[in-house]
Amino acid sequence: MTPKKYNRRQFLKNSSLISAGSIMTPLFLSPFSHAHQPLTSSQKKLIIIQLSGGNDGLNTLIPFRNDFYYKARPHIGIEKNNCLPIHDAYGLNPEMKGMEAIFKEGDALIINGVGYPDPDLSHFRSTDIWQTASQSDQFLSTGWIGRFLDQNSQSNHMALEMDDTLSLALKGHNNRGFATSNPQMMKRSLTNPLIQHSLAHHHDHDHNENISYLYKTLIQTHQSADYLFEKANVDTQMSSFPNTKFANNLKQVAQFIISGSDTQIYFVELTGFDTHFNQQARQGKLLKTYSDGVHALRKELKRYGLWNDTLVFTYSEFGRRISENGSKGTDHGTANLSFILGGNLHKKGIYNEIPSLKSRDNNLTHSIDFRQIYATILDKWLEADTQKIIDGSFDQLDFL
Amino acid sequence: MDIRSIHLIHRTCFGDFDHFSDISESDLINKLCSPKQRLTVPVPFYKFPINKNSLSKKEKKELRKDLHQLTAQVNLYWINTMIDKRTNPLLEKMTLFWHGHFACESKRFDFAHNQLCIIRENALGDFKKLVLEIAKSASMILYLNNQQNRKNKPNENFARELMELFTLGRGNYTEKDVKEAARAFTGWFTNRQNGDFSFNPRQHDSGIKTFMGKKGNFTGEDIIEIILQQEKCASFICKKLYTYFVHPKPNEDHIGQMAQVFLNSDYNISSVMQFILKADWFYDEKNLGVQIKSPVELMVSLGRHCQFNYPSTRSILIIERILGQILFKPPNVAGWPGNKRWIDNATLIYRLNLASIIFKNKDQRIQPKEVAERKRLSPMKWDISLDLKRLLDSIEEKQLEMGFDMRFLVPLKNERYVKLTQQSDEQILNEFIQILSSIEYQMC
Repeated sequence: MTPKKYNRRQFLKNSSLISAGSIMTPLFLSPFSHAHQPLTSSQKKLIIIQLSGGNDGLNTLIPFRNDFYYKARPHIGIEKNNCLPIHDAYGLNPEMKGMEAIFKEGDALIINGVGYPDPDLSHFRSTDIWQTASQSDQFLSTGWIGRFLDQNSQSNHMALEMDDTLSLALKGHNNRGFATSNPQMMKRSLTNPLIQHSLAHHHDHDHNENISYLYKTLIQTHQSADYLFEKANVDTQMSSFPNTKFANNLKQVAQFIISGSDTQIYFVELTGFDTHFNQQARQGKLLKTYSDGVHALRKELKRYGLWNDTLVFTYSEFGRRISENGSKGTDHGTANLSFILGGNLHKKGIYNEIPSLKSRDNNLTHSIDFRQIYATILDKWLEADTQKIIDGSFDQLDFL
Repeated sequence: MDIRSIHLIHRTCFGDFDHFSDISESDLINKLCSPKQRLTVPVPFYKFPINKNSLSKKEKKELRKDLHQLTAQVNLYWINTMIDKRTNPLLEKMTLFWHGHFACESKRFDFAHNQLCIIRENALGDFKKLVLEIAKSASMILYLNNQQNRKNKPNENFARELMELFTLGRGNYTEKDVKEAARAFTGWFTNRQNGDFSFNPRQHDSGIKTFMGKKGNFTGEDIIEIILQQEKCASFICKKLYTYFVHPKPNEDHIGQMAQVFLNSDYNISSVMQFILKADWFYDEKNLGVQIKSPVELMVSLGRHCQFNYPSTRSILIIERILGQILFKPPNVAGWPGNKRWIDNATLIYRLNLASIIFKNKDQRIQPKEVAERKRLSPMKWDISLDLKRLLDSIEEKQLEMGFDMRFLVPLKNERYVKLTQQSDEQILNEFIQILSSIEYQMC
């Protein structure tokens, strides 16, 4: 089965023709004219990594020249000698050797002080704000990637989340991303006779838009599962990835990219960063998982000559307080750093300074709105119409 | 049974045909629209600490955990009440509808339960009373910051959502109306300990307000009164009822008829529901089986069809979270967007596997996301058996002969019958599970 792109509008028009016998026919995979929609530059891949729970940015990138830092964190502050040197004022968490290597090669950028006005300190709410690209007091029911798909979707799995369930970020008004933690397992769950029965017994419900929609979703799920399963089985011989669940997800992403999947956006989560007590060991372990994972990702994509067409964007829903709490941990905070990794960055190293630690409320004040990063990626990398995706106008940054 | 009754029961009764087989259509509608509730949702007992401020950090954490668990408990009780055959299924469905309409979240399970009681008591009653009591409920006052709404320091959150989401809809009020209404609601407080409403005249702005073209030293009650005098309010609510009970695409003509009935009855919800269910257009072919069951509706129809209760808070939370509708935890004040938005590849497959998950303990691998936790829950062990004997006992003698009509389970035209006499129990069981796992079963 050779994957070919199809046009969504055409697809919808044709979906009324779906009947039991045509499920596996190439109707859905045949090429259509692209007269109405220009193709986006789908060679360029975007990988979004969400560090869930609120990663402590100040122990990720350590401002080792800043006395306030050590005063605020007498127990958990990381000594200069232990930091990995990537800058004359800042060093990386000692567990991030993989990331250090990427910095040394000039393929990494840290943007400091990323946040939004009136920060919300609830995991759930702040995650929603990041995923929907809303104002702090605005409630949106669609995600920014979902709205990108509303404008640009070309296939059911154009945006893929490596998980069992789909995040709000990937849900648009009319289009959704695709969620799977394991294409093999998904394919197997679809061979369940009960589901096969539904696939085979598509009754004539053409007048009923909603039920047609459910059948269409099922058929597309079936197709995407087949497609991704096939891509997952292309022999790529990747040996760099460590044995963690996160690295395994990244390996899966690398597998799809290398095997030429038409997915353009990947969404991967690493969770557990809510370090209210005994933070050091736990955060270190998580950062090692993160950094080793992306290091292997870069290595494999580079080996296949695909790294220059890949952009990796990492964020967390918020940072943590400047001062440590009473149990060698940190509580929920505000502005935080974001990582941008890629082979063709216009800016490398440290983009800007960490905001002042002399803060009245023990929190960093953001200097860059996260939607500026979104706008930059949407416009420069995905070549999308940012205005239709992000509400409000945000100055772009110049890292792409 | 004719197609009209089948449609009616799928749309208003979670597809539950019990008790209704020997009653005329209009008697059935009258019975369903009767606002009297026969059961209440139980509330767990909890001894709150007398002074929250004197608790240690650890005790506070324990308290939060307890409250979280107790909210899940109320969630479970409510789901199982909806399943309870003694309740009026339309009243239960209306309650679920208003719960999404007056979307609200509370850290206190007792406040959440109290609001649920207000809704169930008025779900088919007087809309004005419903709005007023919700406006005075502890969870709403806290959720939309009326607790912070004071004379000279107004907080507009509640006043705005009252008009935008609860009564009028966008475009039917001005920014000035929001400001003036917020002034009128100053001094409406709740007692954070017991949730009692109190009016504090010293915090109330008793000055003259100009609201929707009227002038006076209006109170919050006056504002609600004036809002409900607007015909736009009746059409806004009727549109929402129409898209939920009739067809996801609004028909302005039908909504206009409904709004007239709603206004003429002084906002009596039962009257407008009777009007809908007795209107010929309600039974138009294009309306049959067109609504996608919400996750909770799906859970309740499974419970009612297969006669089981959900066994634990865990069992309902897993399903609610994976499918995207956690009771007492709407995504925001606008409620669940619903309709096609319930469906993505992951939720659809989970829905189609749900009967096997519950009755055959299969495919427990899928787990909801955890935002702040380190580890996901371990798989749940379901121990529910589909009680075939009870199920078959509830089917009438003559159906046994001709076979069980699939239309009792799905609201769409279908030629399939389950032959009940010539098959083994195992075969019948599998046939049932097949139907419960169909795409058609997702519809009502």
